[in-house]
Amino acid sequence: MGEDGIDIEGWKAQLRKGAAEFAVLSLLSRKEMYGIELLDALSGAEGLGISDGTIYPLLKRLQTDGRIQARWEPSVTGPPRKYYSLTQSGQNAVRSMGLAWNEFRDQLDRLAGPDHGARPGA
Amino acid sequence: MGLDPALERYLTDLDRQLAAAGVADRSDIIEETRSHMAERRERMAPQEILLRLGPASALAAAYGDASQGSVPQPVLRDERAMQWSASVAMMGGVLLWVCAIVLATLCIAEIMEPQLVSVWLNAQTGNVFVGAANPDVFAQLSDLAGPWLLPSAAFLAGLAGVSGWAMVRLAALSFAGGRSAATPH
Repeated sequence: MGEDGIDIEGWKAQLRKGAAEFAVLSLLSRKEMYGIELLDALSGAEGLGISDGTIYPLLKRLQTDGRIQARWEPSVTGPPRKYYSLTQSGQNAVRSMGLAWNEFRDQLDRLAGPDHGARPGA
Repeated sequence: MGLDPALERYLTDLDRQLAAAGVADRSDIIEETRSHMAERRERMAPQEILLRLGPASALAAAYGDASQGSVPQPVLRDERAMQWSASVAMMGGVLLWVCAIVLATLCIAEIMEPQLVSVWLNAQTGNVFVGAANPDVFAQLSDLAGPWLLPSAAFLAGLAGVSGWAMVRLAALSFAGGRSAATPH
């Protein structure tokens, strides 16, 4: 619990749940990728809470849900890689998520206003 | 090329922790983790790789949760089915309204011209029709309807009107429900 009486970490964890899935599906909507490639693309977005230890179970869950599919590909430079791509259901999902996200962000921006997050006195 | 002993031990531990998973799933997870480790090993020490992956028990538990799927998201197929049903209900409602209008018109005509409007049988052709008789062929027509025509037509007009209204309302609610279900809460 922070000094302002809010469990900010718990609140961030709630925000991360859907965002991580949306981020991975969005990256895969651009091109087929494998685990480390996804992690590299997500570097700088640590707030999403995706790490080496969470990306693969997340990919597994998306596969179980039918949003993505996987195939193994031999690599000339190292071990074989497991590449992931969106299924038709995943393409539909990422499109719906994008629309919902834009609507959600616009509404929240309108409510919170542009000054939220600014330091006091800044 | 083999992995470092510490990484191999991690894989053995992970394999053991994944005992509840199917053989194919287990093998696939181990191969993917091995591939991840081998690629990371080009730039990282084994201890850092293990630190980033977290304990094998936690990774296995996360895979266990993942194989059960996620909380259902907006199910697009169900949403489409709902919209299709709502469209059919809307068309049915409009059709019933058309029936109600025709029957109401018959009622009004029966009130205005009770002698001419009825259910007629043309003795010459054998045709039966509902509506206003042509006075020129009046002699060939037999009136099949009794005093029940007006109340029956009025009742059916009312029934069709109310049923049509209910179906259109149901369709409108289904459309609205489909839209709100597609919006994450």
